[in-house]
Amino acid sequence: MSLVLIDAARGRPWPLLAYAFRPFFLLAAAYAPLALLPWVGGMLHRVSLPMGMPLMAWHGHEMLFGFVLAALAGFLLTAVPSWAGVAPIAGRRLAGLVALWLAGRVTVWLSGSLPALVVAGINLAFVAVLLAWALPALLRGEGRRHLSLGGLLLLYGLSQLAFYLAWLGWLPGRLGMLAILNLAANLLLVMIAVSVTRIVRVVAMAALKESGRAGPQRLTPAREHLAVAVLCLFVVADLLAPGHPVTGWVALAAAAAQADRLSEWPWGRAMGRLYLLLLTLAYVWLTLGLALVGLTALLESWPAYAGRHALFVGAIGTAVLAVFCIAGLRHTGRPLLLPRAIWPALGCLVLGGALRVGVPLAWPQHYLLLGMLAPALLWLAAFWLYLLGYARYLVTARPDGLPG
Amino acid sequence: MTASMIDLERRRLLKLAAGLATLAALPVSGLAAGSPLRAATPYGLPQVILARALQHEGLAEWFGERELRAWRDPDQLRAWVAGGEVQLTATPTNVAANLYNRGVEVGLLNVNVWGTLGVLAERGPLAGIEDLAGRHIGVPWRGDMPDLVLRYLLGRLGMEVGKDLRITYHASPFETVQMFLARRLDVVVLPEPMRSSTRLQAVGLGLAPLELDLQEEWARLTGEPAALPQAGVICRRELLEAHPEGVRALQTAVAEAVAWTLANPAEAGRLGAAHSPLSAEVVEAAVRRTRLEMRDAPAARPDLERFLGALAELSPGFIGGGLPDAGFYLDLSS
Repeated sequence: MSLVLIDAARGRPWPLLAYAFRPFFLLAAAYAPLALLPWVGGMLHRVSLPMGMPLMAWHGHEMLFGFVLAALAGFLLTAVPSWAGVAPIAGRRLAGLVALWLAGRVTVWLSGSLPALVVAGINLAFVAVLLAWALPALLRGEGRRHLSLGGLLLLYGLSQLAFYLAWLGWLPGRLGMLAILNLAANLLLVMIAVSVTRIVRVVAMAALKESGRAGPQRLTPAREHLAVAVLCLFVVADLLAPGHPVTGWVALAAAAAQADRLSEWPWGRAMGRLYLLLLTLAYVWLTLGLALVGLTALLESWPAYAGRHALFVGAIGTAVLAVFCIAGLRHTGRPLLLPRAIWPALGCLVLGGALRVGVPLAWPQHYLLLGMLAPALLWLAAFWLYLLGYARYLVTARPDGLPG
Repeated sequence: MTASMIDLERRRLLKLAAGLATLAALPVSGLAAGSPLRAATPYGLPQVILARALQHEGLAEWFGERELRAWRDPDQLRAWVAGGEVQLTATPTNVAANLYNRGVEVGLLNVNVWGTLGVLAERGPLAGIEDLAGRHIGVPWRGDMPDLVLRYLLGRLGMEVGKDLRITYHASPFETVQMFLARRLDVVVLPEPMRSSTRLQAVGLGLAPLELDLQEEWARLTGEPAALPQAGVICRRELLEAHPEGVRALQTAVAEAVAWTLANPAEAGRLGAAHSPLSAEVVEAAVRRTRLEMRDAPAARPDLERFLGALAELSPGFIGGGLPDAGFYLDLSS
């Protein structure tokens, strides 16, 4: 492998393997729509693959522990070295990790004919390697400031373990695979809220400066902490009593706290900067989704999943695209000038999310075509447009000649 | 009910039968001696049965090329049958009676589908029709067979639509299905194979829908058998006059196809999937949930008259006026 992976001329790893975000962002973006195929195809009776688990559980697994976990791996393996001052994983070791992720995908697609323990073992190995590398780094020195993300990753890994235990029928108690997937997705929401605290100041300042407005943007830490704390409360309530009116009220409180946080963001010309807009839209979806989860728990007439789609497709989808875009530029040594293809990509994501959330509420008679198929196609367009704009950056060396 | 309204109801019924698919014409045998036989069918089990029957080797003696078309447009079907373009068609029994009552020269050969209607509910209880009280129910098309069977049973229990429960009708059955999958309906009443298709989709969405067999409910509430004569095969009279032995061979072939379908649900599923947009899994599930039984027209007549008569009380246009006379029931024994 080393002959292929080393750029002989410069003695450095092949650019694609120079930093973890490169292969993982590329693969995650390519895989995002593919993981929808069996799900949407099955719903429309067009694709019928033998899966070892219920179709919806398979779909949730691949979105959370396939697509999002690759994005998360790319993000953390890239951010932790700069936070904690540890050496990044690159070259052959990175290739091994990528191969492990790919092996996980192959086993899940073949889950109908492979032993469940093999599928679970290979997929857990990936998250275990990630944790074994990231946690020690986040436990020492500067890394401790970001330990909360390490803790969330640990919980995410444990929820993946719980998913397999539920699949194998070894999980005591009443938690089923779908409830565990809900928990994992909720943990991602907390990760979004926590990560945004780290990113939004830098991004808001840059956007204000570029849009010609001077002066610092004031973001109150207490309001940020409140938003994260109430969101955590919702995650606990949603695990213990999903759909209960009390959980509904907690969700509404969490929505209010996120909206309060959003109100401090620069809502003016600066919002025209795509990198700030991406982040903001992810957060707007988070707020809207929590409000819908709250309302559907309190009102009988709306289906309970409406808010979940806003959270999963809207908030998580947009947050992943935001991370892909911002980290993809910063770590390839480029200015924060997003490629033009990202505008239509974001448009597709917003429209897809709006259809996924809105069609079951407003036009349920078109649920399968407008509420599932159209959002799936828009999801495909969004992430493949990202690839159109970024694939070149991800596979070529940094223009400034620096490593990574 | 005006003639145009009847037309509208029939059109909707036929669209239900044809589903979303495009017109398909499939030759089921190669060129051979004898006159060609052109048949038509809706998707689902009637198509499986006819596709299998037309492959029967006993037909080669009487018919050459055999072709099986899938319905798409009701006016087109009527034009096919009335104009002699199609000589044989599988059809719901009320559509057959309708064609006959409107002067189309057809007769009933047999009834082979005796139970295809079911109720799917997102949650329980669902022990009987009584449990539909207070729920929002989706039914494809007012005045169609699923609607009339449901309303007949509600009437037996003295339950009133609008007061005891709510019914919503849709412009296409696909809309009803989507409303249910979107969890905007508590309950749907559907025929096979749509019932199996919807159940499998609902399971895929993480739901665990409950099912109630409407034939069983009919038996419980009327004291009659749990067998409702819902679909069969009709042919043009001139086919019978020109090839009486050929039509007898056809009747035998349909009987054998019904027996084969019952004995081989998985293979029947694959055959249905090969000739339609339905998946093999759906067709197979539909076979397992449908009461199939071959009865020639004279033998089916008492049950058919009782069934159509009961439903026509709710909507005379359902069978195009009144019960068809004796000329409707083709007797191949004479």
